[in-house]
Amino acid sequence: MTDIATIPIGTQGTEPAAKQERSFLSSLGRSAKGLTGLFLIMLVVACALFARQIVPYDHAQQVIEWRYAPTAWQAGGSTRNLLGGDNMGRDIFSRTIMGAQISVQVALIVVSIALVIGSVLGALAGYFGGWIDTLIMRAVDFQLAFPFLLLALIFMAVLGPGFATLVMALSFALWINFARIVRSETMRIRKLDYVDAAITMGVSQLRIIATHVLPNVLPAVLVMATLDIALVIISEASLSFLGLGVQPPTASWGVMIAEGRDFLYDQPWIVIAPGIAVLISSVGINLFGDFLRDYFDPRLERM
Amino acid sequence: MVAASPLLSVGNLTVDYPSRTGLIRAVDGVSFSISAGSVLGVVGESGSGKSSVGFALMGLTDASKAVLGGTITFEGRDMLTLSRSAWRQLRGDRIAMVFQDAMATLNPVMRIGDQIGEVFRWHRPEMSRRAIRAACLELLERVGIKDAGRRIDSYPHQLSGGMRQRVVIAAAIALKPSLLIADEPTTALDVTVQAQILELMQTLCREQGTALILVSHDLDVVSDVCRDVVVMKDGVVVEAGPVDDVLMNPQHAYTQILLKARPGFGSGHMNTGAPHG
Amino acid sequence: MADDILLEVKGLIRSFALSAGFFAKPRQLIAVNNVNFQISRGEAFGLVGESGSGKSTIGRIIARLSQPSAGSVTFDGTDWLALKGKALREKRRDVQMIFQSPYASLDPRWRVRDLLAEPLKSYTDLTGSALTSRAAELMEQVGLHSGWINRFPHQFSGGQRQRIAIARALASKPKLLIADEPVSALDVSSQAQILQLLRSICTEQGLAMLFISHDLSVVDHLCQRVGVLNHGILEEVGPTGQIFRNPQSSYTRRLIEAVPGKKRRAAEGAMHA
Repeated sequence: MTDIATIPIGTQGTEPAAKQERSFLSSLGRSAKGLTGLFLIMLVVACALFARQIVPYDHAQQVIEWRYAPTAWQAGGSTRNLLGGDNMGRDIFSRTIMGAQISVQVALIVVSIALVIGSVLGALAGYFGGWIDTLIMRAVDFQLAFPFLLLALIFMAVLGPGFATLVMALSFALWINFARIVRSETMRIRKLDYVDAAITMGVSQLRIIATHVLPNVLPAVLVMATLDIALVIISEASLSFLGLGVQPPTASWGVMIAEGRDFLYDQPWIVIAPGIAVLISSVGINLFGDFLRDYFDPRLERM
Repeated sequence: MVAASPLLSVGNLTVDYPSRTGLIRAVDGVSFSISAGSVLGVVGESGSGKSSVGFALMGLTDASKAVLGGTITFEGRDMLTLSRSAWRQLRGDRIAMVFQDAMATLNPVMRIGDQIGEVFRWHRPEMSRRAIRAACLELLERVGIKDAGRRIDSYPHQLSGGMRQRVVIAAAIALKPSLLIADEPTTALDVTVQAQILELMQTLCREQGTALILVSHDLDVVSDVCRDVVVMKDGVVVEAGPVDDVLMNPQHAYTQILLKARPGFGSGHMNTGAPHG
Repeated sequence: MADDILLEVKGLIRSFALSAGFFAKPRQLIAVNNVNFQISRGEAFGLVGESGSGKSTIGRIIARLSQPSAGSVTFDGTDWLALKGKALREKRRDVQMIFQSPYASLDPRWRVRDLLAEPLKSYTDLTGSALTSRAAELMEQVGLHSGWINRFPHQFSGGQRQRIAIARALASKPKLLIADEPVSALDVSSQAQILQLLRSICTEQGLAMLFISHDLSVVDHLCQRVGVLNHGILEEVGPTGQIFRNPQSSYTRRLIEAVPGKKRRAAEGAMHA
């Protein structure tokens, strides 16, 4: 008689394969994209951190002989002003390095605020559904109906331009990105058995969100965050360029480009240096974001 | 054996899939043969390589860049030396396949009549549209779809799982192939529907003289349907022979485990009594 | 012996509104239609049916993961559906569930130790090393090596994962175990081991089990009593042997007729004759 009772239960089966998933660092080591991205990011961050040590001059220091000074490798240029001087006689190298500080600060603050607010609201909407979901998602829809620049203009009009306003306007514009992605991921995870299992084990709803839902949403959020950092740096430059963001004489890449645009034909180096800085940051962050997305994608083999 | 050469014979077949660490051998020296009109079961658990055998027979290993070795002889032709276009001509015409997931096999935005009709349009370009539609109607009736005249214009999602699998079978047998490969055709279906689909496949194959290879994890299903069985584990055949012999007198320890693992229905008389306690 | 009844389900109804299109009136789908049954303490009760029969819905209602439209559930003498909030969370320890797929029911980011600690934290005062040693004990109880406690679920086979899920369900020392197709996602050779494990645990601990399955053979072996569900209606309930050997409803007969393996049963029958 074949009966299942004749099969011993003690069978532990084979030892679980200690599948060595490649660690984050070793994956990074093999990814040209990831390494390049990380290198460019580190470059910008290092400039921001050690700006005061790197710069030869104060970013606001005006010297009459430095006006329109060409770059070091151009005819008439000197190593005194490596990247030349601007229309007000300020050292462009020093200003570009100081600009990194503003960009990194704005990017980190804005993305952190947007990430926290967006993730919490998105998780609540996705997990509980019902009227909470309706309320939060209508707010998102409402905001999507307004172009980003118009929103920023409203903020500037009400609060006046400045660093704080810039941060608020950008955070306000970006939280919906996080809310939407976290909501849809949460709705997917909410239906998984391990959430039901946690409910039957008497775990409270908020604890389930904190311990099961959010950690599993994290990869998607991290990828979103890197891409948004690039977006913030460019947006900060655009808003400052329009005169709505950081105010002169503070050195911000956007302010520098705005101030240099009148001299684009005769003294293009005034615009080129901050322009390349924006390019380096956004390319670096996008490359790294791409690598993160590949790393977290479970469908891609990571052996 | 003096009988004519078999319809299909597989000799020392190997299937290797490329991976980043080199080739991974999914099928390792598998040999079997099937004569015209007979029914063969290929049994194994996940990872046994049974599905890879089916894919290799259909020439569907291109997408995964698998490397095939050994021989596959079908109707006297060496399949592994066949050109891609020649293989495409055979596929759907002389050899057809039915998969586990009918929903994934069918195009969700195409009416089922058109999907079955595709087989004719591709392999029988001389047929008129009218003739194709008539042939599709007849096929749908043959696979037991009631109200075929109305159903022919349905979309896959409007049908139940069992009906969808009937549609897939209709498309597979449309050109009266000499070999039908069914890979877990009933695994996604309910028991009662499974019984109907198995019955249907057997009847159709018998009527048309089509040989059937049934790939399944379920020894019970295979034993009901097939005359011969091949038991696979980790890419190798561990036991092969007539179903009756293998069931009654399993030689290999793995076959014995498989048989023991499934409690035979109706043998559980130890529970006939009232609840204990 | 009324005090022997652990669970009593009476007049259970669950209906869903199906939208039939933009302008059409929503239709009612009755997933569970006036279902009544009882489970005694220590009894393994099988609920068989095909997909869409409502068997999983009933399991989810009893596990309080889903609300019924009408009907009552009495568990261990209490009005089970009336429990709310903290009282419900506390009482959930008595009814634990094992899900179909151990790939979906174990959070992939958690180590086994933390998976097993989750119910222990809810229902016991254990902390730190006491928590870990209790988790290790649970591993041993389901036939797994306690040294594997720091691994992640993906490092285990399907059968081993289901053992972990069972260990987790046992952590709160429940009175009723709901197993919803616990082996249908597993390979044939590990199915038997999991079933045998469930059976011996229930016997040893006097645990009642609601075993939900489409597989008549498995229910036949495991359960003392069985209910046959067909489109939300409980066709018949009774001792397994009686229902399967002498079915009264035509649906049950059709279901039994469809079970594969006739040839094998005939062969085995001949061998014993």
